[in-house]
Amino acid sequence: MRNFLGGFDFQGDKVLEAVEPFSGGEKARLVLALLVYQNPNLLLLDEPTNHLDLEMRHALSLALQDYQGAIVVVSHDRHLLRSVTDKFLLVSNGCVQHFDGDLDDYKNRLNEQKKTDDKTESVSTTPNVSRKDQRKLDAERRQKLKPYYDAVKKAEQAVEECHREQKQLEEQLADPNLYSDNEKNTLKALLERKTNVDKALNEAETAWLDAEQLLSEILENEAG
Amino acid sequence: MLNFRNIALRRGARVLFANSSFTIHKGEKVGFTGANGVGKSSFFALIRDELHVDEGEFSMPPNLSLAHVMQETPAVNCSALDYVLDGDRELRDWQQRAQQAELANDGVKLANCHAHLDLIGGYSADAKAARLMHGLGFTAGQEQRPVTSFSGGWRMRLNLAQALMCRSDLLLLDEPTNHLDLDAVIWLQDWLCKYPGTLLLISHDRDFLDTITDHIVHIEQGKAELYTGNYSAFERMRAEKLAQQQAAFQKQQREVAHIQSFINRFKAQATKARQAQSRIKALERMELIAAAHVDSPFNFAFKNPGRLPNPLLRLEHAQLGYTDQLIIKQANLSIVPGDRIGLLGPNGAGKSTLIKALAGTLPPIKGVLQTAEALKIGYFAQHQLEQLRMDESPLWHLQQLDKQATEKRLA
Repeated sequence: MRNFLGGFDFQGDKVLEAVEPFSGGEKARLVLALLVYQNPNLLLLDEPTNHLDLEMRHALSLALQDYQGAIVVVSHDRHLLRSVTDKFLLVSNGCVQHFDGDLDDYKNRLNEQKKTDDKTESVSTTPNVSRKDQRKLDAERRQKLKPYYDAVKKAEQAVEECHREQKQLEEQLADPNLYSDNEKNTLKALLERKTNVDKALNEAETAWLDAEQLLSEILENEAG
Repeated sequence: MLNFRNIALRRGARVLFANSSFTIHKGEKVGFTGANGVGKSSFFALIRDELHVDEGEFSMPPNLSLAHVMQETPAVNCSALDYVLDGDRELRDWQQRAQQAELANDGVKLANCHAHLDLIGGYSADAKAARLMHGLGFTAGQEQRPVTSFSGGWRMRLNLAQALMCRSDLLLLDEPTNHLDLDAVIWLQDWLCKYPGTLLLISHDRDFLDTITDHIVHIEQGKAELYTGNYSAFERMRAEKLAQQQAAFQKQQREVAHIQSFINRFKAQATKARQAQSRIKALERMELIAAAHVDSPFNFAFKNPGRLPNPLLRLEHAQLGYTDQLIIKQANLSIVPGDRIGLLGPNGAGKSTLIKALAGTLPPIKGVLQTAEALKIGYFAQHQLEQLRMDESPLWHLQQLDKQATEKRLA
């Protein structure tokens, strides 16, 4: 028995240790060892290679090659499938049928399927759309562009606001009485406000130009 | 780009590897191989800065965008699609900025955010995430289900999709095919072949490694070494190296002769069917492969099963599935000694269901399963790992089988 377990690389004290701390690979190896030990005449293997390293996968495929009973296997390891099986059954759409081909044929079949799937998907989103869908698309486009239009409008309003305030201040500053000695503080305050408004106007104008440019770029991109 | 100079890594007192130097360049696809437990994952931990070298130097450029698969899935209630989208950190960042701008009513900033989102393909991100999910086997409609509604295996797939969604320069994948089915493995392989960044891949899947990688870092006997070429190229080098040792050479000769005799036997009876012909090629390749693994720690074989009734079992007009869900509408299948059948088909179409029915653990809803009296099934499935007695040893498990056999004989 110890020899038998040694063949699965359970050496020395390992054969007597509790299974608990074993890695997934070691547990899978033990389950396979138990399977081999029972000497079955029909092997049903559902993803036997999970957690097994390359070395063990190789040993398993060698053992399966010499096996004289029957094998039914599900595996995502193509090397194992290729070297252990000589016929495929295709389980799909509720049926079990013979698959006349090898793994390369199966891969091509998957690719073909994906192409048709992608086509049906793209059809539903491009030109050939109904009027209702078109309205929906237009609405989505408006929704998407709305923030850009909003930004331009808001920047424009900010510029107008600055202009108005600037004009007001200029009118006030045109009053000659302001330049007498006892109005000195008022003048100073007004001049300060004027400097701020000039600066704000400058910034608002730049923001406006930026927003306009962004919008036109996006519209251009859409057209292109 | 990733530079390892004279590095050594220890785990506890054990030296995983030492004196290892190599450089991985931008855009390379590197497979990490070696037996379980040699320290492949420790390399990844080193790169992710969770582990530090015990000796030598490791360096990589700062600001590298790194993606890896999370091992745990947080129990979040967001939709699966949103969870996958979280992998795209840049997208999420700009979406958040847009949201803040909207709350602050800052039109210019909002417009800026949207322009940037447009630029980085933010408006096609949903479609991209959905494509990743479908490639990994999720069906249409599952995108909107909450993450918590998926089982462990499926959450691992969500984590994988999330890592693929990331705009990474460097992608670390540790055994990504473990929880996947064949269709998803083939899809992932195609995706990784087109991935433009640097890929480090731990895998035990030969075809997967061979198709994707252009370099192999193999760890054995306390050393990690970089080889140019894919896994098969590495194996050829290894076989040649082994052939230089007398004992290994003799064993190689014996193994090759054994496989050769097997191929001759099989060739004589093989049909013209495509898969039978493919198998001959695969077996011929096995000769080369075997030569590279003569120092394997594994050595086991199936004994002659003795009685081989014909047929072993037969499934007739069977409907298979569960009371609330019919999976296979019609199955007629007869299995005879010598049959070697691979089951193909999309995820969830019923491959495991069919195997369970053959094993007799899932009785057919309709139709019959006829079994030969001397039928002795060996059934392997993942759930059997959990059925091991955790407090008992490998030897104990084996002894139980003997006890059962004796009891059966005496009964």
